[in-house]
Amino acid sequence: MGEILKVDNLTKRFDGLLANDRISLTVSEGEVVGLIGPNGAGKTTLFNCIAGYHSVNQGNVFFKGKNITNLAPERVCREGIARTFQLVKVFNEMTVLENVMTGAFLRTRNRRRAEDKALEVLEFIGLYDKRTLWAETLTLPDKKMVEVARALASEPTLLLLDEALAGLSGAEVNQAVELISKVAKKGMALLVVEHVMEVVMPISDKVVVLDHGAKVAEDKPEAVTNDPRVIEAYLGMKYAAKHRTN
Amino acid sequence: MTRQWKYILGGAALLLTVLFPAVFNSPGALHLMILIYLYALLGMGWNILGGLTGQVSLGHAVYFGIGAYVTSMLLVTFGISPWLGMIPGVAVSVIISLIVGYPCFRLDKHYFVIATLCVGEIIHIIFLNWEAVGGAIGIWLPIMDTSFSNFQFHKTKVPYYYIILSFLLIVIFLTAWIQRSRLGFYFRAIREDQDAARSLGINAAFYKMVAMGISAAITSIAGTFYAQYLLFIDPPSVFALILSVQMCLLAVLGGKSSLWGPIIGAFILIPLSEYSREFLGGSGQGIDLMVYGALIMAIAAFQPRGLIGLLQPRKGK
Repeated sequence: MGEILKVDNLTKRFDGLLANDRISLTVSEGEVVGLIGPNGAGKTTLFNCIAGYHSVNQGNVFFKGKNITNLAPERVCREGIARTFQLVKVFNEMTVLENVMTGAFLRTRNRRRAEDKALEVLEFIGLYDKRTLWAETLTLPDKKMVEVARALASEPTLLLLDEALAGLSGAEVNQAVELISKVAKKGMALLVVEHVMEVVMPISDKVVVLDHGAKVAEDKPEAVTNDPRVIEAYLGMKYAAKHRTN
Repeated sequence: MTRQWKYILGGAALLLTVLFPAVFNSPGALHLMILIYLYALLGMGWNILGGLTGQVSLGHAVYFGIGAYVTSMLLVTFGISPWLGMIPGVAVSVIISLIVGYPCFRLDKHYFVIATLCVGEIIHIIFLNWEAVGGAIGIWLPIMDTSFSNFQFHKTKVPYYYIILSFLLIVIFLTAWIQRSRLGFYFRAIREDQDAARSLGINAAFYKMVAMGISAAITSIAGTFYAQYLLFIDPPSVFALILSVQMCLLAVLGGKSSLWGPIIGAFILIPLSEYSREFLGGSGQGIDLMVYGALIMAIAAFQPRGLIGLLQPRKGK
């Protein structure tokens, strides 16, 4: 499997705050990569740097071998990277179908073709029955699904999910996780930002752990959970020390 | 409403508007209808940018004035037919709109509104002091023979009626087409959430300029018509802030971002302001604005989507 996304020594500073400190990671074709870390670890910042929403101070982002560092968000999307947002940003005054069609219009000017594509994605996501509803009337989980559908309709090769599961109840999380694996099975690469480790572990091929802006681990899920640095990052030094002596 | 009913209603409305001068041929009735169509046209032009794309401009009188002035100056100095003069009028308006848009679109929503308002007032003042184009005195257009190519009709207002009606119909079809096409989807996406729109590959800066250009072009054509209809223009009549505010008001009152909203708005506000002026005379100046204000407050409180919301309830769709 070829490498499609390569983040190389990326550094992002906000004034004095070092939000991302020389982070490197790779995502291969069809791979699901979990990006985890406690609150404030720099996950969303890294995400926004990749998607073009923040300018990068140092380092590079390559996508399919092309340097996409500091490209505008719309250009990044045209290259084949789609994203969702931590705080949902559906188009409220548009129907579910229109939301998804907006994504589909990236690859075609033709309204009929955009509609067919959108309906196909809605069927896949399980929102087909709600296609005529106004997006603002949906529940939070449905809004999140609309965002995923909208992103998928732009036919990306890499999908960035920013805390797609935050704010969902137990049952809803399971549904969402199921959907993520379904998307992954289509052969799409996924970079999933999440701060709840348990959710990400079972679906990820690889997990990258951030803490205080730096990468502390990049490994298979099982290996990461046993990594003392990860335990320290999540549970504090004291717990880690105790854990090690046992 | 089913599709069939829509066609029947649309056809009936079209028939009524086309036959109107045959039944009501008094100059007063025709004048009122011409004003309504003119303002509906302005509201629809404003709506492409303000309603559909969500970029509220309070400086649209600029393009109205430019359209009026460019064609009038070309006619007065070179004797160029207003029909031809309309094209450079549109070109100048679009260019100015893009010059205004380029820096202003970088501003946050509220600042964009303030910036457009300032540009509108600056251009108003420039024209007031620009002697070469008549300054504060304005321009009287030469009276020419009645003919279509001269854009002048002296015996009756009926030709003006059909000209402005045709302009309006063209813009209705244009807007309907935009709304259904990719362009309309992109405009709405930008209005709803610019960050999300960009995440879907939409070049928000570019499409806002497109909306600005289309909007300015429509407004400019309305300006040309206005100058030919009244045969006199001066800065307060075509560049006044109140004109920019009215364009916004009709669209918001009728239902911004909807196709028919500005037309409904014009049909309510224009008779209101004309008749309140007529009944109350000089002492009644400003009364129409007070009624506008009250209407806007009522709409904001009870039907934020505008009057169109009463006709097209959203629930159950």
